[in-house]
Amino acid sequence: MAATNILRSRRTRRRAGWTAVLALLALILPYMLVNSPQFAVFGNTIPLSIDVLSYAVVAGLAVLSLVVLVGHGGQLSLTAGFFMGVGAYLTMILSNETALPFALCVVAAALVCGLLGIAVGLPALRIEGAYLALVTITLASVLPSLVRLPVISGHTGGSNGLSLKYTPSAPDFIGQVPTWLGHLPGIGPSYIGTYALGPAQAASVWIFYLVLAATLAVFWLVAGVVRGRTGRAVHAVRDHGIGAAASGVHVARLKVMVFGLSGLVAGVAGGLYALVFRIVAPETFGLTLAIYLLFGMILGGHRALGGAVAGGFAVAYLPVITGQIKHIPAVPDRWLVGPTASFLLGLLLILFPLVLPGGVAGLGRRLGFLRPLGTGRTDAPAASGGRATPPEPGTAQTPARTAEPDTAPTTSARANAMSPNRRETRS
Amino acid sequence: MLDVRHVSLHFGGVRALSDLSFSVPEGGICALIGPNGAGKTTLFNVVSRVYTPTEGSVTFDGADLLARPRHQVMRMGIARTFQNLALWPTMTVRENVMVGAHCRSRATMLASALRLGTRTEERRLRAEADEVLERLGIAEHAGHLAADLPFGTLKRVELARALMARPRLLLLDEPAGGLTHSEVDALADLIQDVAESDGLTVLLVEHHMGMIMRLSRQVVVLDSGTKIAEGTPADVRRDERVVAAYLGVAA
Amino acid sequence: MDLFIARIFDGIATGALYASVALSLVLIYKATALINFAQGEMALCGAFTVYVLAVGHGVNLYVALLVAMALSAAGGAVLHRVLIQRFDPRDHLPIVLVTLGLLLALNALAAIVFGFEPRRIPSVFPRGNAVAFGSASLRWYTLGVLAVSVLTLVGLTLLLRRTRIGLSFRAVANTIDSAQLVGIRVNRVIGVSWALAAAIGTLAATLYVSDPLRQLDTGVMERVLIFAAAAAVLGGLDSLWGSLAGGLTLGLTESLVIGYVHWVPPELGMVVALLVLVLVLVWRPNGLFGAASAARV
Repeated sequence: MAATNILRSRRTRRRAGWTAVLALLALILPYMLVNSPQFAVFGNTIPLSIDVLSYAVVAGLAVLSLVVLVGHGGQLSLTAGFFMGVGAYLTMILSNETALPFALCVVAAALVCGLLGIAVGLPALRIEGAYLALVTITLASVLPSLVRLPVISGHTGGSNGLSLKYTPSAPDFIGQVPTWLGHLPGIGPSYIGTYALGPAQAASVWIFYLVLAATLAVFWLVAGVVRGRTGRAVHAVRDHGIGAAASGVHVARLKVMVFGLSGLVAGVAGGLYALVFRIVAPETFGLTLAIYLLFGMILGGHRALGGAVAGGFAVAYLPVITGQIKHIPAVPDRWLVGPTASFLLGLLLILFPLVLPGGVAGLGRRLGFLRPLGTGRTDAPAASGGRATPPEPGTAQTPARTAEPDTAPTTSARANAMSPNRRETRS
Repeated sequence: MLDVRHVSLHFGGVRALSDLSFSVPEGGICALIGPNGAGKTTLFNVVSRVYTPTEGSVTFDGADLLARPRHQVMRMGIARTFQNLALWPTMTVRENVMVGAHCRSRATMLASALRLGTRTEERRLRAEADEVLERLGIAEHAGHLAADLPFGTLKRVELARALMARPRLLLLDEPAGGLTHSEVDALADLIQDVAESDGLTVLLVEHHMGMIMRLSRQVVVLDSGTKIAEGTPADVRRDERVVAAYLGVAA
Repeated sequence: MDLFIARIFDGIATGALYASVALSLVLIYKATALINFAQGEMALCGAFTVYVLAVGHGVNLYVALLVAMALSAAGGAVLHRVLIQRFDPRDHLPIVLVTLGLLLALNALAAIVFGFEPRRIPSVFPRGNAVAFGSASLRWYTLGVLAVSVLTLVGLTLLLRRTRIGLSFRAVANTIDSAQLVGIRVNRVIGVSWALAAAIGTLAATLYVSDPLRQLDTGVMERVLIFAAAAAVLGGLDSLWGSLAGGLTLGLTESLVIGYVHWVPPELGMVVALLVLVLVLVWRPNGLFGAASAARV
């Protein structure tokens, strides 16, 4: 027992340590990036801007919506980009055309996206697996065209895109912070400088904090859902729907609610995107974004809430990095052109399931940073001692094409003891 | 308590159940036996609304069961275990059991998100789950992932989950499957204890004749989807049709 | 009236090609319930191969097409063996990821190697019109494309019903586990279906861009894939003839909607595909000719 307490407190202390580091980073980074420093590697210069950092946070939220729907809900849907796009456009339209304060526009747009999620979730009840992926990818691919439809292009700006008229203005102290931080030994003078920020820069920093706060709030809310009664029910439905129904869970309603939640979260991400970049174009939220977000989900580990953060950073920074790399040692420059970014993403997508199926979170579990699989608080850490690397169950999707409502769909539980195919006796 | 009347179920050309009728009175243990393919699990599936019969009616305490959707079966007071297990491998044993109380808990998605009043309920559910696990002798596994445990233990986890619902009727589908001799005895004791102290009615599908004879007050025998005999264990054991179809004649 | 007939013919021409690409999707779905999202880009690479052989090296167009189809078939089989076979077919997520990655990688590769300017492939069918209906005329192209689609379908049906590999395929499509138990080399059968699908895709893409009114560029198949997907879903994802029905219906719908519904301008034809998809899902997820599958608990 004493050993358990020591272990537990070591992990708690480790996590407290990381949280402190991250909080510090969150404080300092924006001020380091507000002047768009360049990052040089192998003869390439990669500009780092605070907008992209804010985007990384927002993208983390969009990836979270996928983690909830695909990882926890077990529904192979690629709707995150679509809902993010709808959220962004709606927020901008509401803000530009009504007198609603911006925050309310985001909330309203997110609620609409939540309802849309439910609307998509209803027909999605009848299909699953790759079929569902196909349908939702179509949805994602068609958003750019939908936005251009003459009926609504008056509001959406059609092919010209849409820009946000509202700009938040930062409270005074934001601009003053460098005058204190700039005195930090080491990084202060070289990266921050001791001058107060101008209004535009202060606004960027302020937007970062707003976006960060909103994102953390949504993460906190989602964590509450996943760790409680609804989360258990969602996992039950994912892993064995019949068993869940036999335990009193309303399977269909829960699946649709998960879709709704996912839509809501992505809608918030969209609204925040509008705040960060203030411009959207039809192509912004198309197939490529949907694929990037899916990659972000896999990178982080498709069931890890925290992994969504890593995923978000990948979504934001991969295009920047791949777009700016003009020289790689031993590779002729001619090859490093525009499509290279997509090519690399494609390669990553192919390699990840082969090499790192659990994503970053899986790696974290193996290295002991994260607690082993199991959504609640498992008491004895020794519980997972029997297995050095807990297997990462893939999303268990059944190959049944569609299931008629009154026959029992097959479920595939991947654990050995529970394979429904193992014992063929019929009573 | 449970009234099955003229239930028939066809899967295309296969007649899984044909004009099956029997009653399970309240209290005590009723056994459902028969050779493989006789329709025992199919009947369970009908009662728990996984299948809808082609004909017939099933009532529970007078209420029409066939008019209710699947997820309401437990709310009505019927819990079941599955022959091949229907547990959730990515959750811990405790969490699996806690889902059993889904109908007895109230936290909505919104409440969980905002943590409004959920902590008390969670604590209560955890305590109850631990209690049931303790009673079934598997408390040591509470924090283990279900995926890591052997079949026999998981059968008990499923039983724990069913009990967590505080049902009035318990459907057990081959609870002794895969267990050793001594484990079967222990299980029989457990079932008897549960039925008596909790006042549960139990409908038991089993192949283990010793267990059946010892535990049940009433036995229903199925063969090829129809009932071929019904009565006390002693009666049924002597019935010629049962012997021919299932128990076998001494060589 | 003539305009209407012209639109019908256009619809048939594009519809037959959507049907062919849909056929590739259905072939793989039938066997494994999986979708190869890279089908369109694989076909694109096949069409570029035809271009390189026929235009770059002066090879006879038909020979080039056959060679490209053979190469695609090999490529499809290799991709299946190397990237797909290693995953549990019941777990769709990794395979969706891999095929999406292939979609991106192949498309980018084509762009890197060939750049973005459009190319022309010589017309596979005789140019000009076969029959005239007033001022609307039925091009040889339309007839040819329709004939190819139907013949491909007939060929596949014969393959499935008269050959041993076809029988194995049908067994796998029905129940993988049982097929395995009777000794069918399931992986090999699936590999063959990937090869066939790739070859058919290449054929379809080549025919599509060899239309005198179209060109070969790297963006061409993204749109076709969406339409093919909608066509496959409409016809029933596990029905081969359904893909023909779905493709033709979709081609006709697209042509007529764009012609007559004014709030959908031509570039936004994809919205039509989405609408069809949504309608099918809401009304009948199995599509027109798909079979509902029930599974035992």
